[in-house]
Amino acid sequence: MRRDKLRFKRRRSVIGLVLVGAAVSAASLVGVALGGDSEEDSAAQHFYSTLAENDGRAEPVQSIPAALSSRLSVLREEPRSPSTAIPAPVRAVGGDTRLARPAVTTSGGDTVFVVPASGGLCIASSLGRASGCFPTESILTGQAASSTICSPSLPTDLVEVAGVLPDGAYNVRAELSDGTSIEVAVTNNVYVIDMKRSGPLPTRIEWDSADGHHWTPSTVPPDAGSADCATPEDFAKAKAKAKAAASSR
Amino acid sequence: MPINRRGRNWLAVAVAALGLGGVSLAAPTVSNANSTSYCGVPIPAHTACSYQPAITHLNVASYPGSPGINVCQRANIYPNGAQVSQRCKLQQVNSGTDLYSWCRARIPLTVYAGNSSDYRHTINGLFEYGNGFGC
Repeated sequence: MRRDKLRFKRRRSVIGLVLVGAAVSAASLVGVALGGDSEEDSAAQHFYSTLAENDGRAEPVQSIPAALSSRLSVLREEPRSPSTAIPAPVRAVGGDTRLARPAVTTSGGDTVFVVPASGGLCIASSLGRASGCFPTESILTGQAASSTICSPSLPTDLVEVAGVLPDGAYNVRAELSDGTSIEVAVTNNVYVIDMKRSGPLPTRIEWDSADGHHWTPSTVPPDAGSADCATPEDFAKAKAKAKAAASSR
Repeated sequence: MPINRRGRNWLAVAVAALGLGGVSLAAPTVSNANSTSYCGVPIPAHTACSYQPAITHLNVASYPGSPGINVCQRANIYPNGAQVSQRCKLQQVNSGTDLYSWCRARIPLTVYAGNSSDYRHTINGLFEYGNGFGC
């Protein structure tokens, strides 16, 4: 009986030790997961918190940081002519438009600019389709894609993915939701993929570089194909309704 | 069988969760004169928090942790209309200039901050108004 009690006590102690050990391990894992590379994380967090506090606009930067210009050929090119107007949607993204460079013009006539900003880089387009800011680390590792599923500037039957890849990226492809893939053209470090909403949509962007194979999520959500995007007629109807509601008050 | 008030409320939540892929979970807080925060709580994978109605020129969805997960912001015509804007990106995404004309026309929208990852995560939502955008 006593031996049984002792055995039970010992078993409880062992279970206790295992639980404590597991808790410590879990805490360490959480610490590692949360801690990561704290310097990079805090830089990225600062970049994003500034964006949120600043009406979605990135802060300007006095000159193009060497970390970016050494890895993005588009930033080593001559700046655009001062007479080149910066479209309003590009100004809205913030950063420093004096340092902005037009990177690529799509078949839909949308010119995508890269706009250096404090702590990162933004992309923004003349029609307002592509828009997003990324911290420097994300740009340098190619983790810089954004997707537009519905926008007044985008035809309702299209989904667009736009992003930035550093110099040296080759064999760039978009993997699609049906398991196939398509080649992606990168011009001046920028790619823009317009796909029909009714067909397979990009799930990830993959590329090769001197240090191996890489990928980043396309960021297109799985239900993007079924999105019911507002049309100009929807806008007109809603505007009339809002006007009527205001006048009845 | 008639549905009582509590039943109707649960039904509304279920419809919101199933039909719109969204859940309204947290009481919004006004962070300053020109912005309102919403959501800010853990939400299931591939769902969104909403706030309505909002007359706004900018909607932001963000994930406060690291490494980044895919987040989406969305704005629909209030109460159950078509999508005016939907954009997704790792860590933080905003509506760009998508809402400007809707804001100037003072058209109320339902704004969403969504978790587009495969796991439950805290997602912060924020929408802005004023600041010389004519709304």
